[in-house]
Amino acid sequence: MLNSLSFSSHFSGIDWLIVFIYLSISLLIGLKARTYIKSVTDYMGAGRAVGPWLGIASMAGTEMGLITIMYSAQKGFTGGFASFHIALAAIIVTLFVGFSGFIVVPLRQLKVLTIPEFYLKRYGRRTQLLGGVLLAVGGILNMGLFLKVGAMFMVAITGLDPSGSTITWVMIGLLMLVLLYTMLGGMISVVITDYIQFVLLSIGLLIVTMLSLRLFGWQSLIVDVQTILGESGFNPFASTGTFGWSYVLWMIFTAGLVSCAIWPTAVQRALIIKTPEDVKTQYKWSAVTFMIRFLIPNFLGICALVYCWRSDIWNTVFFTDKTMSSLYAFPIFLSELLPVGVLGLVTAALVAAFMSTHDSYLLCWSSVITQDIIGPLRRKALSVSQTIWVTRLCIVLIGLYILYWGLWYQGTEDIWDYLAITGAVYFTGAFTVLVGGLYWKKASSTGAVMALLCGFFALLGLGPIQQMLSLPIVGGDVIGLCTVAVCIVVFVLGSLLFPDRVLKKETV
Amino acid sequence: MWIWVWSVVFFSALLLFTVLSFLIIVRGAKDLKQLLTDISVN
Repeated sequence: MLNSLSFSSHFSGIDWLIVFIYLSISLLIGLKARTYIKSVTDYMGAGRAVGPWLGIASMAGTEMGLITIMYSAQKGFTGGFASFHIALAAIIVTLFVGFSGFIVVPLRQLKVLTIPEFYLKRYGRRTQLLGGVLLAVGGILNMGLFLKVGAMFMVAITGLDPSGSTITWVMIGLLMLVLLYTMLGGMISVVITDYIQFVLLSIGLLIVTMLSLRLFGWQSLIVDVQTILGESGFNPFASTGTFGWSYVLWMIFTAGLVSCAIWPTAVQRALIIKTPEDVKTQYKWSAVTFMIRFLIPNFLGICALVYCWRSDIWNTVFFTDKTMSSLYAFPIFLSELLPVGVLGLVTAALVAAFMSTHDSYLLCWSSVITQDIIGPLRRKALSVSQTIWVTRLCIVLIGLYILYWGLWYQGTEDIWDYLAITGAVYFTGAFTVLVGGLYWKKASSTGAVMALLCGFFALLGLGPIQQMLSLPIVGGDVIGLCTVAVCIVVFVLGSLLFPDRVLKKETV
Repeated sequence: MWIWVWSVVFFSALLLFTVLSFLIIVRGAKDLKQLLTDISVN
């Protein structure tokens, strides 16, 4: 069906020009930022000189990427207003972290650049190495579908013909752009473009939201969602819906705590802030952006749901025949709603969002591989230039991997659920090991290693893995919550049964 | 009840985000200028 359908986008030459101008400015910034790099801390941590407001913009720019907008819109499309519970969980938990400083402030006080570096200080080299490997595996697996989702968005919004190898070529083009840009400037260029992206994206999202509200009207959306999804379109605990108690709990943990205080790309933003006090300020204000990154795309997904439901063609495609991924609904809605010029501006903002997430993630995972896997394995420390070059090589290799994975993986779960499960390989163990290491004196390196390894149980939540092992179909949320429980039990038992001979001083 | 809850959540968040975006854009620009100065000096 996809092959016989063409997207009826309004995308014009003016829109292409706006996108082109934005991309050129970004590349120039990447080139200019090279002149500021004098050390590894400059390249990977922007010299630890980022003020709190720039930190908020940078954190929002990274976490509000195109992938976030696409999967949140997909959640709004499939779950209706009930999907808003994810945004609510995000703001409540981020505010808690902001006021208490839970996890992030003690980490910043230790002046580490990455989470495995904390493992080294608190637990020793063995945990650092394993933590680094798991972080890299979980993180890189997690971003495996970013490129494909970005390409699907570009194809749908620009009205390119989706048949043949169009998606592949768009993926290659986007990847080359991001690789070139990230390798040039490191964290300094990442922070600068995060800021520019935040400006573009916040304005773009507000314009689209206002236009959508004007087009449908709030009351009309409610009536239509009631017709299409019934009670489950509003109540996240409804037994007939796609969510439920275990899903909401899983969201409080993942969209809430993990997103802001465990996930390395978010934590990295806390670790480059000038002072620990500024970190709290950063989190209190960022709580709103952590909510908005889910809420507005959820809302636009609901608008896409109503739009496609009312359209004869898209109703057949998405609801009767179900021949197209629900991911396409949001860009289709945007491309048919927005006028020329505004469409270009919003697309530039979303391409900016795409680049900003990719550069941060590529830099984050490659820094972990260089500093926390290759570094500890070598007898002689890498020089500054060697570290930067190895990091750049890792960026290219990860880029090639996400191209391959995006073409190969054929899972059927919603993108957000895929991300939560693959990320859980890392964060279920990391949550236990981080909290235990920071707040429990008896935490031991053996307990940490055992807990980190238990994170692999989370992979059982992926559809293709359940099929491969002929397992009964269990939701990723249930598997994820069970994995967290197993990690905590194993960590406590491991620490009590196999204590370290000398307690590390860094326990807070 | 849920319709009422989501209506309040959505419109309050929209208002907050509009104000906060303006603040972040203005004060973030000052921080960015400071960052570039600090890094150039160091």
